[in-house]
Amino acid sequence: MPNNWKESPPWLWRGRRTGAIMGDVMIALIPALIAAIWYFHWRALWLLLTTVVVCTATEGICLLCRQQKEFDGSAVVTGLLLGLSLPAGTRLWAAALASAFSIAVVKQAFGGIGHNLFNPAMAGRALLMVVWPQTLGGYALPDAVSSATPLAGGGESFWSLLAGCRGGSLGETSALLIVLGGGYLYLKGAIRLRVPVTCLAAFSLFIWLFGGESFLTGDPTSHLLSGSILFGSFFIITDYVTKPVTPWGEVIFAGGVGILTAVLRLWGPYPEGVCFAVLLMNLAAPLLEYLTRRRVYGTGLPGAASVAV
Amino acid sequence: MKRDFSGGITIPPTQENKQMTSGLPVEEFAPDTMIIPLRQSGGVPCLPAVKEGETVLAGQAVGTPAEETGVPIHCGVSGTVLALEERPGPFGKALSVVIKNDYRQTPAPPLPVSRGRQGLLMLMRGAGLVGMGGAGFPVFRKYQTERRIDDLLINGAECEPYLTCDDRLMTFEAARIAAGAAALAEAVGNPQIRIHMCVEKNKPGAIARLREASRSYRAMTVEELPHRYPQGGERQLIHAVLGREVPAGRLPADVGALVSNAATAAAMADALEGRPLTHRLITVSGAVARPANVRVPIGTLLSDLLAHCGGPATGEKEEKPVLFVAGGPMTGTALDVPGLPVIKTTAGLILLPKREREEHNCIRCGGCARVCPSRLMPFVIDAAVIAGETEVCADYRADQCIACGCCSWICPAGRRLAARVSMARRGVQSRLRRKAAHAR
Repeated sequence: MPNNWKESPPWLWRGRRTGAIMGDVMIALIPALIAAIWYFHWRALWLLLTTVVVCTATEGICLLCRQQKEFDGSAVVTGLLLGLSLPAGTRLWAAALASAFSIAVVKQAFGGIGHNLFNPAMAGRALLMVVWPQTLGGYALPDAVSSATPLAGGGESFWSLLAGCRGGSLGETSALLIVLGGGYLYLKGAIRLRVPVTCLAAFSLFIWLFGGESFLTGDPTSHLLSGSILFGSFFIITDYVTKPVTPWGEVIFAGGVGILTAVLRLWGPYPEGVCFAVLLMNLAAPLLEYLTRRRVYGTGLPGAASVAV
Repeated sequence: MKRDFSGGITIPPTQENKQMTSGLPVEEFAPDTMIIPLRQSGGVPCLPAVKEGETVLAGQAVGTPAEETGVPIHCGVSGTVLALEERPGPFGKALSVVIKNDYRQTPAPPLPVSRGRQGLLMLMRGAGLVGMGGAGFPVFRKYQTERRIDDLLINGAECEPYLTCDDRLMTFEAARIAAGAAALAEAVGNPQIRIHMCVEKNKPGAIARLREASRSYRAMTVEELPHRYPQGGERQLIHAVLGREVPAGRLPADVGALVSNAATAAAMADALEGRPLTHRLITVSGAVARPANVRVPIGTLLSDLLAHCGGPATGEKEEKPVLFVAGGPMTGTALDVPGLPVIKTTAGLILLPKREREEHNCIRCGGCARVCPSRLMPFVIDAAVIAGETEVCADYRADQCIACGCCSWICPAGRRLAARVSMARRGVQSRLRRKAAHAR
């Protein structure tokens, strides 16, 4: 490599760094955080504090060990996402364990930010779901002792789902506030709408087709408004690192998450499927990206030079 | 047929700073001593046409092409040849003609002017015309094409930040540019050719003047283009104006188009009056005491030009180290000291604050792939270059990089994508050439 590579144009940069993008995600999560604390009170606050502090501390230790100093706030985002994806009744030690696992094993062991194959928050949640399902403490209703998420049975009204007065994980309470945060990310140019839209559309279509008593009688609305599908669409599958970069790759990836979530919800062993759907599609992301590469400008035309190896 | 080109970036006005020089008149400046490098491009350098101590006239050739493919170099002032020696130039140390200005501007006899396709091609060559917006390719060789050319694009996009010299030229000398463009079109040899004056819409003055000037010519239109970098890239401009995609490894002539810079058209108008290419308009801007657009003879040292503009700006921030960029901030070359001479393709001298750019991990945001006008995936090529995987660079078509710098500009991780993709491009291109040679 020539040693003068540092001395090359351009001499102007936009100046929006990784930390600023992470900051935007944090801002976008504020409505969902407020809703979580509003509905679940201290339990939510303690849980979120645990995940954020443990994720950040683990990241700091890992960076020290790897002699790197690029702290960009991504660990805080992982902590927030993990905390919001856990039910309010989760044991704090379990949440701490999942946080440390997310950062140390899923992210840093693979080479740190940008190199992880799986979404760290989803991998942390999956660890608890598979190994210690009892630590999730059931899907608590806000200030209630019931352990039912709408997905596990029982009907809740459309309006209570929309506003968030319903059971489930911290971040999946209010559909309205999640869309508000997602809209902010879209306006800031941090996410492209085709990701959440494709995911939600594929999910709804699949539920409508197969989710009812008979063919074409499913009820996508209540399914959309309950569970993590909205939260996942806007905040989890839009994670840059673990999705394909190409436009068609994004569409197939998001559609895959939507359909897999619907399949897992309808016929899977767990009441919610977003987590495993995301992890499965994470595995497919590199291949999807390779297969959906855009045609390089000027290539593939009659008379164009090729680089056939 | 008008279409947008692929990718590109919108640089905010706070970073573009065109307003620093866009309202100013053009200044004239000629220094005491000039250093004219006989190597003005990446091609074969010229041979000296003058001897030490010889008197030169304004417009006299001081370098003659060593090969038939080259063009001569002329001196813009009258004076004496002080020395003929190796001096640093934009393409490394090169034999240069050092000229002492006598400030009399005694003119050399005008060039013989003839019309008709062959006559104009001869004139282009004799006047030393090269493309003034890019790599400095001899104009006559481009116009020699045997292809049928239906469209001539006069490139006045000037999408680089800070630069306003083409804008000023089009505003003040629209009639000359139109006349030069008509002559360029005549040299193509197709009477049905259409001439498109392509200007970004952020230059309303230039557009109005060109509209007025183009009325006197048949089939000459002004194309108002959106303001987006790199609108002035040759392939991007052809796509935006004509909706044609130049195939990889081919030339604009292969899709029936030729592109010449507005400054080249103005130089052609001079040539029609027997004056060779000896001067050019340069934007001096950024952290400079007195930003300006200055017309200088080729060979003027950038340091003299900077002194003419009052030197680096002084103020509270005067301690900050400054980067001297020759050309535009997106594609220009940075110098530690502005000691190089102006050549035919130097469009600007921009003083920018020296900033450290720390490289962090790629977060795969895909920004570089979205803004790449060639639709490459710079982040993949970046990783492949670091890993030494040349096959991957070829597979991802690094050879199609146009070195516009959009990828580095947008990267939130501060990665030097453009530098590495350009590096990969050179590697893949040399492999392509070897393959082509092997096939023959």
